[in-house]
Amino acid sequence: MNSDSVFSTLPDDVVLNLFSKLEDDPRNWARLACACTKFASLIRNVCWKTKCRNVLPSDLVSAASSSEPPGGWSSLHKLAVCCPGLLHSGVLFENSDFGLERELGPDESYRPQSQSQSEPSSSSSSQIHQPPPPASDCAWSLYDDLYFDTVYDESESDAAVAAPENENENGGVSVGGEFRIQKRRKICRSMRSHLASGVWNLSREQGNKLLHSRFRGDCLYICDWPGCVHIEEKRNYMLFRGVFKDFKGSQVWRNIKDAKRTKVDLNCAYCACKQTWDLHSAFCLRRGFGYHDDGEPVVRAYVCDNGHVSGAWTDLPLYA
Amino acid sequence: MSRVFKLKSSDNETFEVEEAAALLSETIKSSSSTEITVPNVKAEILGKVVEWCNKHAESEDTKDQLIKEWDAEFVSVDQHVLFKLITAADYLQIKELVDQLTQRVGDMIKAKTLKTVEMTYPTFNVEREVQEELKSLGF
Repeated sequence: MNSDSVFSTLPDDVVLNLFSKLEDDPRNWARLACACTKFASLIRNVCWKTKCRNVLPSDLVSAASSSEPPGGWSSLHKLAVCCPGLLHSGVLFENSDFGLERELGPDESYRPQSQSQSEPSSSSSSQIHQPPPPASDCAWSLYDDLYFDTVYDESESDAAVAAPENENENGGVSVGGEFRIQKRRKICRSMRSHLASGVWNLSREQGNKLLHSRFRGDCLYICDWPGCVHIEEKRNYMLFRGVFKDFKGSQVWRNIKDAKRTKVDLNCAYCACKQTWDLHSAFCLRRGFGYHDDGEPVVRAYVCDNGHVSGAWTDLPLYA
Repeated sequence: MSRVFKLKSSDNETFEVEEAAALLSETIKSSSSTEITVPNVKAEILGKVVEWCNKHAESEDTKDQLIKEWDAEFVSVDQHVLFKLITAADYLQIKELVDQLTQRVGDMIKAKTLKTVEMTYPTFNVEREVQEELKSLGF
């Protein structure tokens, strides 16, 4: 839109009046903010800011401070209304090794024969691996029999590691090259962030339910339960998002720093942070949640430098 | 005995407006004179604004279905006229007219199928597409 378009003749308060008519669907403002710098400026600095102040808990968005929250008002607003999607809540991460490869590094005694190797059992570092027989792709373990039984199609396993590159061609998103995706899934739009179902608000109570009791003092605001529910083949995911008030001043942050945790290559859905911390591995979450049999954690959560949290609950396994 | 106001357009045409209609404008209300010049607004547009005021002054009940239909007709104009009307109504501070007009613009923006935006931060990858779409609406 060039500068001599009709909109440039209108005073700001009229433009804001127009924007207020488009408030009901958050995507309207997001689209308008793309149109030109004047719109972007008005929407960021007035619309999103006012919306946050009106909708979010007042102690999270203190009216006294005029400065922007970390990540800006656009991030906070997006957090209120957008589900992180399966991608940003970490559901698409490889987890069937209980996250061991991320924690301990790749298993040194085992080298994949070729690009096509992807079975999760390759990273159970506690087992002794023989060199894989030439006929098959990889050594099998008990987990594979259970896991691949109904889920896996043999032909898909070949494609899984190559998937990160292919995803790009399919118009999806490029996940960090290190990570293997469990089976070949096109990362379509619905797996990225999208408007959340449910009420668009955050509360501290939900935050307290998530964190380990020793972080009781931290102010974590999470969206209402059950968040945005995604029904997948294996199980249902209740995706949530939230934010720490003053993350850098929190005990969780100190814990992460002291333990010298490393970040994971999962970018935040809400701001420019390319990496986040895994709160589950950092023992920041309530104890007792555990894992499902296939290695998937019952609850997972990731936090970025700005204190934005994305994660997923699953139903507790029926059997112990 | 109601007063008569004189509104002058930028191209020197004068419109006579009854008090009830004229006072729908906050600008006129707070003006000390009954003769008001409206800068940058041509007669064609000013005439339409006056027409709106007259219509709304004479109908007691603004929630009346007929008035709503009349209003809907009124705002069904092309974008250029629409924007000129907004400018005029804004200058004259006729709140309800501004609201109706901006609602109309909002509806036009909504009606056009806009590409789903991921609400990406901080750069907007679909910037150009959105601009194209808005441009195609005539804005």
